[in-house]
Amino acid sequence: MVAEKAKSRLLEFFSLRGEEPVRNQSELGLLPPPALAVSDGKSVAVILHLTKEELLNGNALLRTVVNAAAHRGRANRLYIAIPKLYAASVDGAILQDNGIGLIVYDEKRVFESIPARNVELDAERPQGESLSEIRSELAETRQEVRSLEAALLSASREIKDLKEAVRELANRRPARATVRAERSRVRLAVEVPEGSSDEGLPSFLKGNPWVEVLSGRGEEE
Amino acid sequence: MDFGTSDYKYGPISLGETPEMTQNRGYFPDKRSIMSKISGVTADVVVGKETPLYLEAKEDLATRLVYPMRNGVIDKDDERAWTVVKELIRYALRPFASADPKFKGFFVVGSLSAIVPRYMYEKFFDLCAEVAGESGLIAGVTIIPQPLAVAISHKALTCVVIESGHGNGQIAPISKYPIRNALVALNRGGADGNHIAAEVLKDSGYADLVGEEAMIRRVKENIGLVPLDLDKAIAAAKSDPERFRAKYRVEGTRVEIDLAENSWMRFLIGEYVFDPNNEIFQSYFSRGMPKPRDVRIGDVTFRGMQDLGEAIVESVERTPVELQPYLYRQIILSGGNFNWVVPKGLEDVAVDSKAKIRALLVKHGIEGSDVVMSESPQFSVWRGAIVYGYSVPEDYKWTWERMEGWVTVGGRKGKE
Repeated sequence: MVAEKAKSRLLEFFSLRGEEPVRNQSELGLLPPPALAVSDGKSVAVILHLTKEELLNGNALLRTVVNAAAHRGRANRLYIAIPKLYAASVDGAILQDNGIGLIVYDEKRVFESIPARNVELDAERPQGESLSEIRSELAETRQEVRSLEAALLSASREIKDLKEAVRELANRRPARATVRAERSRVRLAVEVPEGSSDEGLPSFLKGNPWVEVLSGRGEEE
Repeated sequence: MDFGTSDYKYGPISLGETPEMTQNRGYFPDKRSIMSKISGVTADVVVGKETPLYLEAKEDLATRLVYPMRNGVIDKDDERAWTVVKELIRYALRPFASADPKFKGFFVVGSLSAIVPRYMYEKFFDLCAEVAGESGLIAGVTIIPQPLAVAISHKALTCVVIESGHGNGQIAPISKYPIRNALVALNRGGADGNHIAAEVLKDSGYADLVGEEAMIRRVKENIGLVPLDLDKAIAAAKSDPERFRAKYRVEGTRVEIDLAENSWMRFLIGEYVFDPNNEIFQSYFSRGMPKPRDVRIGDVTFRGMQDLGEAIVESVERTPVELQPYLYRQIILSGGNFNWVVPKGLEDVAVDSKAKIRALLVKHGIEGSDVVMSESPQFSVWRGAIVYGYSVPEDYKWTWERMEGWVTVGGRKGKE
């Protein structure tokens, strides 16, 4: 399938999902403009299409992932589209870990093999912002960073103190005590009347007598 | 981690009521093939939800697609099967790994069939230690028998769990511990139900359909019935064939099966799973249908022809007499082999699994048993494993005498 034909099939696929091509890509900040960008009116998806020839070049996939990352702040969803024949060459776990979706197509169908993670974008930057406005915003941001650094330093000190307190407590009791406490928590949670604070527990843990039986394993020795 | 014969259920307690699930299988791509070289496949084995994306020629599937637990037991030297298991362990842990530098790894509860030999425990622990060494994803590991997990998820401290799978079945009395010397294993399961269903199809003129296992299974599930009493059910069906007529149209195809005057045979399918001793089955054995035989795997003898009622009684009678009434009181049926329905209008002769087990127990002199079906049979083993992992103290070390506790791995070796 030649690139143009594939592109129109991909557009058709998204169109059936109610997503139409984005015409003003540069206005949305999608630079460099991707081969395909679609929108359902609420969110924007960028689709980076890899042809058979590109896939045969070992670095093309890596380059495409890097290109995808460039659109991260401007598009809610990122996809890579490849011919089905070459789906096996893509490590789905890497894409999944990075929230990038995989669209696979052949002569008969186009399908979403790995769904893309939908990322909420920050409030849109107003168009036509001047350089001075950006500079002033940058200065404010620097000030905020300094305040945050100070707050972080103070929080770090507090965490250090807490850690020492926890270590002291942990040294006072054996490892099993942790389990006891947890067990008591569960027992308390399961013994209270229905409809109270045990609501967060899975049903198979609620009121399960095995929790107490198993918590005592090793004690008889 | 629940390693079922077909499905693999996994995930941490934070998943709530239901685990993640994928097929218990792995695909070994042909790395020498031109296609693999072009597409840059590097993995030795592929597992998980994306496996179908890697599948190649249909004729290669039989050798390259490995279902490691097809019969519940993996041979010691079956390297490919163990490779799949190791990859499935990694696959289950990776998505849930914490980025917190203090994260020392998960406490993993593996659930295996109650009849697996000791070397499978050892091998599983070794694989977890390897994964821990490579990735730091595991802090401790333990294994519990699947029937114990079922009892735990049903909140039953004293009961008998009957697990019936594709190739075999297990009857396991539990009383706060699994009573291992009372375990009875059956060399009979869903696959044997398929055998008799195939014979019924052949006798009814559908010999052309018996080559496809999936088709036979559908026929078994849609036409097969469990009789309360086989002889009475056959007599009733022969005297009124239209009432018992078994017709089944395979969805999405033009194939329609109509047993017509042979519709009484639908009772053979269900009966055979519970009790293959009726003399009517002898004619099938003499015509070449494989007879379930006694086999010995590891230390356990798997009975081929024992009816389920007798197997329960034999198992319970190996426990102390005082305990026996409590065990008979609650019997939990688990596994897809117990999913039998009773069509409307046939309630006088056809029964579900619970009623059939009760009837078989009465035949052997046991009355008043409360037989229940496992709730959410797909997930009960995983749920039991979660409760077990959550409750057992982490400083309780594994002992081979009790077959329980944690084996510490990943640099924190225990005294096992």
